[in-house]
Amino acid sequence: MHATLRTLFVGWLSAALILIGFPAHAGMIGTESAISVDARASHLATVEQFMARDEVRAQFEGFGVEPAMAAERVANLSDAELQQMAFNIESQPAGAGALAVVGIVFIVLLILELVGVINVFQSF
Amino acid sequence: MITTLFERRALWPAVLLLLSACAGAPPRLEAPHEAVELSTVPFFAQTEHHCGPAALATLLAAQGIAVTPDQLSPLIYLPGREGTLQAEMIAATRRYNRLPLRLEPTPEAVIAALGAGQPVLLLQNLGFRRWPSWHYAVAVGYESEDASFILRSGTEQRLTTGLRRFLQTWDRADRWAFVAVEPDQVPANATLEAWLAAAAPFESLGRVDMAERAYKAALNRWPSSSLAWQGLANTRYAANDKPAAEAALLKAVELDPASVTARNNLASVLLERGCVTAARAQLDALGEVPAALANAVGQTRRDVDSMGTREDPSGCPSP
Repeated sequence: MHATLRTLFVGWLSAALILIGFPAHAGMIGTESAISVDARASHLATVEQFMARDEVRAQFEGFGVEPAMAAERVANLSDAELQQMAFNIESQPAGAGALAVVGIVFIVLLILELVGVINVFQSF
Repeated sequence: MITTLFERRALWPAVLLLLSACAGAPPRLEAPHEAVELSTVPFFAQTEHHCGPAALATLLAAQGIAVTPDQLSPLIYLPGREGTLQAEMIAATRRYNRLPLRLEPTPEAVIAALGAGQPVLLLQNLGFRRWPSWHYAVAVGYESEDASFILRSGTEQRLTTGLRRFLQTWDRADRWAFVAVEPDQVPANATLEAWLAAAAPFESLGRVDMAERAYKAALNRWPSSSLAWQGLANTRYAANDKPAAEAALLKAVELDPASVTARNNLASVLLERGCVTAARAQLDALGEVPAALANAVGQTRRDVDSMGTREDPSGCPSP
């Protein structure tokens, strides 16, 4: 579902950008842009900032964050972070914890126990 | 087939032995390092999937910020992903007025940060590359005898992890780590690039005071950085102190005459006070303009051109 929506959004965005081009900004260039131009290939197309913001907020809500909180969380993200996240929240690492691994270890131990390689559970 | 496999279960320990024997020589650090342990760093045990809030609370508490994992969860926990994204760990650190400084991806950088009294928040992959199990932990110490790291991790207050396991789990997470520091305290081992990359988001988010402290600290340390002068100019401009912005931009152009952003911004500031010819001179001195800046520079050019040609009033820099 998310993937479909995102595909549609990307398609629409590409079309929109080709048709209207980027709106121009007058005046000063922010330091974050200056750094990113310094640091990476500048031919990379970037998503307009307000679109990236909307996209990430929608994804946060899709992942179960309350709408008001989703807006606040998006407001804390910098331009570069939004660009990074706009289309791939799903594939980014989400640190969860060591507890799940205990489950995996338990299952492995259980299998080893069942096939008779180890006998740890009989000692309980 | 299955029965034959079961019947040969006597072979299984041998297989396990083979698997564990494939590990090779233990890794070593290039030079010996002194042991260090920040034993006063508090500990928050994580609840299920909430290692992000627990680790960040640990990091912030070490900075004297009283915040609990429960308070952080609504800000950084993503229910649908059952975890916390790296960008939100960074963003939340900023929200608590600390500069999230990414570390160089070496164990030596972690040890150096610990030596400077900063606990290190790091991402680990406790699973496999293809079947990841992401985990945030906070390094609080290093034991030199057996080259192991001491972590606040999950539900363990003092987990010691050998160098081999530490590097394995950190490598699989692309060696991502950061420290939280005051925006005017540049750690001894910080790089200019990492410091500015951490400072600039404050500016983008309108936290101009924080950004300015960080830029000024950068200039104390790296006075010949054109980008740091540009950063200071942007914060001065945001504070409506345009003379200071112009002075900083002049310095930035002098230090890096090829900087498109410095010249564009200087042209913009000059134009605002009617120095059309001086502004045009800055734009004429531009080399190739990167595509990402083409719109901004094009707009400045149009603004300048719309003013026609006229003599600059006195007080403008001579082009």
